[in-house]
Amino acid sequence: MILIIDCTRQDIPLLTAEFARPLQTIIQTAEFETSIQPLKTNSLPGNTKGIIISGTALLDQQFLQTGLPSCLEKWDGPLLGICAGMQLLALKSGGMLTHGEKIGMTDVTVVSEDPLFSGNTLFSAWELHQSEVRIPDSLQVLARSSTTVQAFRLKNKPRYGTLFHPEVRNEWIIHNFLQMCNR
Amino acid sequence: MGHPAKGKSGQKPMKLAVLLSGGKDSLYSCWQAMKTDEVVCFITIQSQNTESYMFHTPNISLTRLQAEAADIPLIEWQTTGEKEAELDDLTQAIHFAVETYGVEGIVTGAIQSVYQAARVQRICAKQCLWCFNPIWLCNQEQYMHDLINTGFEAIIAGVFSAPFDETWLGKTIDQSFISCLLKIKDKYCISLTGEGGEYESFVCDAPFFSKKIHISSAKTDYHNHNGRYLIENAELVRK
Repeated sequence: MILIIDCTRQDIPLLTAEFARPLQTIIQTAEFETSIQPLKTNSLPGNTKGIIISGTALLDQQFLQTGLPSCLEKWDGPLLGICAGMQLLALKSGGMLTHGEKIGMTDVTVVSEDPLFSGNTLFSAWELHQSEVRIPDSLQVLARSSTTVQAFRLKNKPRYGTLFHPEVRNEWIIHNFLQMCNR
Repeated sequence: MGHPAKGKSGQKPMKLAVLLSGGKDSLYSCWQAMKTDEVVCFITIQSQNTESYMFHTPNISLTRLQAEAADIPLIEWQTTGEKEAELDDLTQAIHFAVETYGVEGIVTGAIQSVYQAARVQRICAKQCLWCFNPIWLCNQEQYMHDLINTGFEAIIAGVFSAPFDETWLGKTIDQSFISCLLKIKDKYCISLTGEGGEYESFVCDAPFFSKKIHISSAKTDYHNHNGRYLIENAELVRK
C-alpha cells in the first residue's frame, strides 16, 4: 500500500482534489493500493510499502507550521516528498528555504544518476512554488534547473524530494518510485 | 446571490469566482467548488480571436443564460484576444471581481493544460488570490461518467481535429459518446475530455441550475475538421 500524505490545508477540501487525488489516480492506475492521510497524522498503516508527501497551493504555507509527522522518523522505506513535501524533508535534514516563486514549466537536468530518473538526463517539469531549498551535505543533489536544486535524496536512505511536480507530465518518475516500493 | 456552502468544521466558506467558458469543465468545477465554498460570480472573457489558446469562443455570449439558470452574477469582459494582451484583460476582469464581490479565489476547469494553468496561477499570485483547479489531472474516464451521472447535459459546440466531422456538432455528451471516444482515442491521439482542443462543449443543464437551456435553432459552420455549432436561439425553460 502506498500512503499519500496530503500536505494541503484540511479546511480547504478543494486542495486535496488538486494535489493529493492526482497522485492517487496515478498510483491506482499502476495497480497499487493507496490511501490518503492528512499531514497531521499520528501513525502509518501496517502495510505501508512507500510514502508520497504531496505538494500544495501557492498561498498555502500551513504545512510549514505543521511540519513532518513524527511517525515518519521511524520509517526507513521509500519516501518521496513533492514540492511542499520536499521542502519539509529539506528542513528536517537541516536545509533552509529561500524565497523563489516559480510557476510553469522548466528544464530539469539530472546531475547524478539514480533509479528515480531511470537514465533520463533532461526533461521539462512543472513548478508551482514560493520557496526554493538550500540543502545540507547529508543530502545528495540529483537534479537541477538553471536556478535551483530540483531533486535530492538522502545518502543512506531511499528518501527523495522533488521541487517540481512529477505528477504533471512526468508520471514516469512516480512509476519509478513505485518500482522501488515493490522491492 | 450564490448558494449555501458547507464550510468544514465551521470554517467560513471562501468567496470564489469561476472562469466560465460555457463548457462542461468550468461548470463541473464550479459545482465542485460550490460543495464547500461560495461561488459569488462567474467571469466570462469574450475573445474576438477564435483561435485563442486561453479562451473558448463558441456560443460564449450564452453564458448569460447559464449564469441566470445558476442565479450567479456574471462579469462579461471583452478582449481582442491577442496572445499575451488577453491576459491583461483577464487580470482586469479578476480585479473587478475582487473589488465588486470580495472574491478570495479563482476556480478554473483546467485538467491538463499547463499553458492555461500557469497563466491563471500567475495572475492569481500577483493579486494574492487562491487558484483552484478541482478537476486538475483527474481520471478523465471517471470524470466523463460522473458528469453524465450527476445530471449535467452538454452538447458538442465545436470540433477542431480528426476524426470529428460535421455530424458530431450538436451531439449530446452521453454514454454512447464516451464509448465511441474510448474506442477511437488512441488511434487519433485525442483526449476523452477534449482538453487538447479536439472539441468544445456547451452545457445546457447542471445539477445547480434552477432552469435548463432549450436550444430552438442552431446552424453549423464546418470546414475540414474545424467546425462550430452556432446557437441562434435559446431560452431557459422549466426543468
